[in-house]
Amino acid sequence: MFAFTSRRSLILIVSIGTLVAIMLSSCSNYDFRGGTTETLIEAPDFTLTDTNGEPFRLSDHRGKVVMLFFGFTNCPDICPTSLGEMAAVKRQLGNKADRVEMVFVTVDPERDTPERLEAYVKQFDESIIGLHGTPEELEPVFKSYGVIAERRELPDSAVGYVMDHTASIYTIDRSGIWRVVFPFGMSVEDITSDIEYLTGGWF
Amino acid sequence: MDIRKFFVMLIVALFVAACGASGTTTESETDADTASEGDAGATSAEASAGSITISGMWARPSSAMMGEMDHGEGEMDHGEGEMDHGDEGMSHGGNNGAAYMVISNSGEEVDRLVSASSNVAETVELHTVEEGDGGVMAMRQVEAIEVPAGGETTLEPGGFHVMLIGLTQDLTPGDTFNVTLEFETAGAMDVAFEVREM
Repeated sequence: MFAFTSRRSLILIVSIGTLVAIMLSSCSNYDFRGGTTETLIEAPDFTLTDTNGEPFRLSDHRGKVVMLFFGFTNCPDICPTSLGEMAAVKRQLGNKADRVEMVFVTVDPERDTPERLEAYVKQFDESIIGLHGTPEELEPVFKSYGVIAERRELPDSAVGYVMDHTASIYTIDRSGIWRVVFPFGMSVEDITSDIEYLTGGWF
Repeated sequence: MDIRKFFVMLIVALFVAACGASGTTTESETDADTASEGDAGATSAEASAGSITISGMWARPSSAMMGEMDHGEGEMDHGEGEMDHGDEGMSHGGNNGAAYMVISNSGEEVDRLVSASSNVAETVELHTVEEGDGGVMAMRQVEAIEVPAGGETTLEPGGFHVMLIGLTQDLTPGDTFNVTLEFETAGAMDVAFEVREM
């Protein structure tokens, strides 16, 4: 009997294996808590400069989940809220944290010197990367991510001017696909859930 | 034939298990901003003057030095005032902070927070954040923060805040510092703020 069925059982085993594989891929349709796009696109690539003066090219960071936030160091409310949340997400991820790269891109190149940027981001987490560039370098990056950054004078304020800017966190998966956008004020728990999924810690 | 039935059942069972597991986790979400609001009342201290009561006072941690004046990698040297003399007017090289609280007004008249001052910052201003199209956040200075009669106004991340411009000392978690709040009707009051993470 076994000699007769061995070929059939082999076929069975192979087909079961295939089915299981299909199931795992189709059934793990995780619902992102952040905003998703209808079609998956590759994250627009860019090269800016980190606070050590080294070039940072986004596509060099494939293999990691990259969280991008755009802001300015004179920002006392929105940016610290988001950076504080990102740092909290990182702590929650535990040993998966090293699969995530957190990046802060300045929208205020005039005032945000590398030293200032460095000191600012390190308040939240040692591993956050601060990026800067000339206005000409930054402009296309803002554009490609749909980030709005507009200078607004505050004549009566000691801050002088502020940058009105998009305060979302843009998230790129490990294969370089732009996957999720977290709007301002989303909870650490929800962000962590999505990031944990993207770090691919399940199977 | 039994074997075949068994396999079919196994496949069905696997399918249910796999899909069931991911199906149940997808609820319970999307009330995004509630989590951060719960913390506002964490501090039990209160301060009152006239019909105004302040509660839930906190400020986020912030280091005073931003690495421009010294080249010590942004380390928090406490060399505050050393180079500040004779700088050109408004350009402060320091860092900023923000303080938050709930202001309630038990009176029958509207009151307004009109100014604030503190020795932890060169300048203290009242600001708000307006959310524009497409998630654009715009910070604006305001002349006053109104507290309705018999109501309350919450200063919280993403909204009204007391902005500490040009910190003269580090705000370290666990520290407390004073801010003098000036109300139109209730007058001035000294209020202690606790420094903590959100």
